Amino acid sequence: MAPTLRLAISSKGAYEEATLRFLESAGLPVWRPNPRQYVGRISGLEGVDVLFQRTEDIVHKVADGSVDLGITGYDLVAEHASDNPDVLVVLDDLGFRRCELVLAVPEGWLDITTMADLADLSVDFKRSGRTLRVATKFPNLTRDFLYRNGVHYFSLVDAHGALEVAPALGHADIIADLTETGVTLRENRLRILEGGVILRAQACLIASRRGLRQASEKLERARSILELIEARLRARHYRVITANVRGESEAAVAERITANVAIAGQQGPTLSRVYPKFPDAGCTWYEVRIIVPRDLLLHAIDHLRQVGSSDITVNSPDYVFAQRCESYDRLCEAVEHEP
Amino acid sequence: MTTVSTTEPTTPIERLRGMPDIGPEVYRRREAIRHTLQAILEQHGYQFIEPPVVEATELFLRKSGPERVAQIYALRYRNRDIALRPEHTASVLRYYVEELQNEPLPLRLAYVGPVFRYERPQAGRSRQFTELGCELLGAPSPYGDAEIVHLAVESVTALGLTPRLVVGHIGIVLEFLDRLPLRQRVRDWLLWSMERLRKGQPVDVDAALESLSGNERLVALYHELGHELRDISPERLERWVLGMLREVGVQLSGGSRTPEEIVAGVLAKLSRVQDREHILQAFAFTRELAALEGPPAEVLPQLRMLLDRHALDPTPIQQIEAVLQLLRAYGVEEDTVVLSPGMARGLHYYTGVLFEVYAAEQPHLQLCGGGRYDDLAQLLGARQPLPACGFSCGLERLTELARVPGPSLPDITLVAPVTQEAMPHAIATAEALRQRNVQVELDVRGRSPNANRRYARRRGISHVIFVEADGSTRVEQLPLRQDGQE
Repeated sequence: MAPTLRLAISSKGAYEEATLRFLESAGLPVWRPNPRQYVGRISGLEGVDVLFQRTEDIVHKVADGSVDLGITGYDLVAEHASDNPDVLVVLDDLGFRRCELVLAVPEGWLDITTMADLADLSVDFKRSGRTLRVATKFPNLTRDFLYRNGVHYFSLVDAHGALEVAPALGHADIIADLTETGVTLRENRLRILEGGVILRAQACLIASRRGLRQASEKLERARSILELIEARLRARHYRVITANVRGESEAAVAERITANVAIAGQQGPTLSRVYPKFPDAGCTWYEVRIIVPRDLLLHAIDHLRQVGSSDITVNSPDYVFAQRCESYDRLCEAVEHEP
Repeated sequence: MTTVSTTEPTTPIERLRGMPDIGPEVYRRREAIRHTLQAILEQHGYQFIEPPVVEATELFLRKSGPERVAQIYALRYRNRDIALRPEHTASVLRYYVEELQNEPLPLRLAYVGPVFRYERPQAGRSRQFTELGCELLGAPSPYGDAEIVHLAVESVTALGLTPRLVVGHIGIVLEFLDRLPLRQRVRDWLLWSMERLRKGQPVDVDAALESLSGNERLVALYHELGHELRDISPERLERWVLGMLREVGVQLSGGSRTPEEIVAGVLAKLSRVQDREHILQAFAFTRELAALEGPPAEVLPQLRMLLDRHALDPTPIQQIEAVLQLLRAYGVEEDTVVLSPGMARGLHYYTGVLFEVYAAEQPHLQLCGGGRYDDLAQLLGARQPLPACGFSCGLERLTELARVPGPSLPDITLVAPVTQEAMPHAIATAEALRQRNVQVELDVRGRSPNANRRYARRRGISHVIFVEADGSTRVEQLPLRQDGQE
């Protein structure tokens, strides 16, 4: 029997819900027999097990090959596996669970606003026989970031649970913590340093070199998942515009629309003739369909109006497939190559 | 309970990234080179020691430069901060402080062993390599420096390479910096940028200025306020600002620092703007220094003018000249030397003459480096000042570049029992040969004579001795293996 592809996703409240919503939107609805079960399936896709895991564990399981694919926070991947060639980041931004890992100091430290100030402070501390203590759950990222910014004298304090209170309780002087909105930090009278963003992170899709190297069937199944997710992510950047344009001939209409290259669709517009309810002598209507990048939508509408369009409707595509599945190609290459 | 079945294949465990395996062939080459270099050091009276691979992290933090600190394999184990050594010098000095302070000077110590640096893996650089080097403790400049430079040059020469010696003196820039009221962080940056300038790499002064002395807003504010505030004593100023902030309800109690500390910090930040002039002044000097590079006959006069212009102590020049003169006695001609007064090297414990040796064949690959570090012993707790210098090199890199014939394959004889019963006789035969210093392999797989011949040919073994059950032996010489043929 062909080996099953194991996809691990978060089992943690809001993270789990966001992941399930994302997969469903990509056409990969996860079904599990009951909410207490830790294994589910993807409807319509044979040979794939969906395992519900703690977000931190997902990185480790992908690293040791006991899971083939995982959806987890990029922050955790960067912290735990940035140096591990067995963990491949296949899609680094799935567009949800955005957060930042930041350095924050007590609000009352009026003199410390930049990383340079912090570097000076760490030297002052060292001179007076103290050590700047930084509480974090991300020691590797924090250490590298501090070194990169000229802070060399500090010690990292392992902190679990509510990190934001560590300075107030005296366990640490400053913290490096994840934040989505900054509200929790403010509530605990902490301030993010200028230039103190260690990492911007979001959910990402990772793959296990070890797990996937063993069986080509697994790679084939991973392809089904990647195709859908990649096309779904790409689709978010595009809009489909349909408009009716009046013109003398198909060629004339096409020429007017393609005059603005940026918004004339990926290859060019598609035109088809409209057969009007009330024929108007000497004039013909054409339906125009173009796909434009999301941020050019209003430009495109303006242009279409200028060339005589009316009845413009806009849709979002569910998927946009490219010539090849780029993430799958990348994955295959990475799996085959020696680390 | 899980049991591991021995028949079921498990996934192989891969080598860690950046950690090399040394195969038999490279090992043999490397050991031969190690012997060569070891002999050179021993001829000069150096004694080898072996400090531990694991030390307290603090040992390497005391005076290492920032780049090196970031590369330390440091970990916390059973509540202690420990590190795999990134270099030997600090360990050797720690050993001196612990054990050798009462010994007569100078002490000549040498070492060879693995060191660990967490570097980005790239060609010619791995995270573990074998460092060989020596320390000359208790020898002031220039005699000590000359001996160490000579040893480095001699080592490279002995490997069939043409050494290109680059000499500098960190004392010049240090004296200049000492005259200015500069903070440690500023000094670190200046030394770092000098090294970059020397190598022709860009340095963004404006960005550094902003980071080191405050941004434009602060500069403007200082220019507006600085003159007015100059006559007020810092204590009074602090008291006023503190009182004012309290009055307007600014929360100053911030975790581990007192309100007084924070207000002092605010005022210190403002006064940091004054550093600007000093930083620019020092930067201009380091840039001049970094631009000087070339043969001593050309560089020395320019350097003398530079020092004169800044009224700096000419001792470093005298030391460089004395070292060059002594090197001539060692056979190192001045025209093979490049003088580079802007050299800083990554480590921050150097105090005097420093140098790097490159191979003329590979001008960008540094083979050895070292210098004088007169303060390190006291920094590590020595009772008395200890003038000292040393050099080190990476054996793997030297092995790769060395232009000496590798050691030939050992000549091995295979002793093969013809039957099971012949084994005791075969062992006796093998042992007797080993007594006579013959390298002997014994067949332990119970192979047939033909299989043994095949094996011997593939291994490059020239003689097989077949041992019969009655103890009689028959020697067979095999045709020499042609390359590419089994």
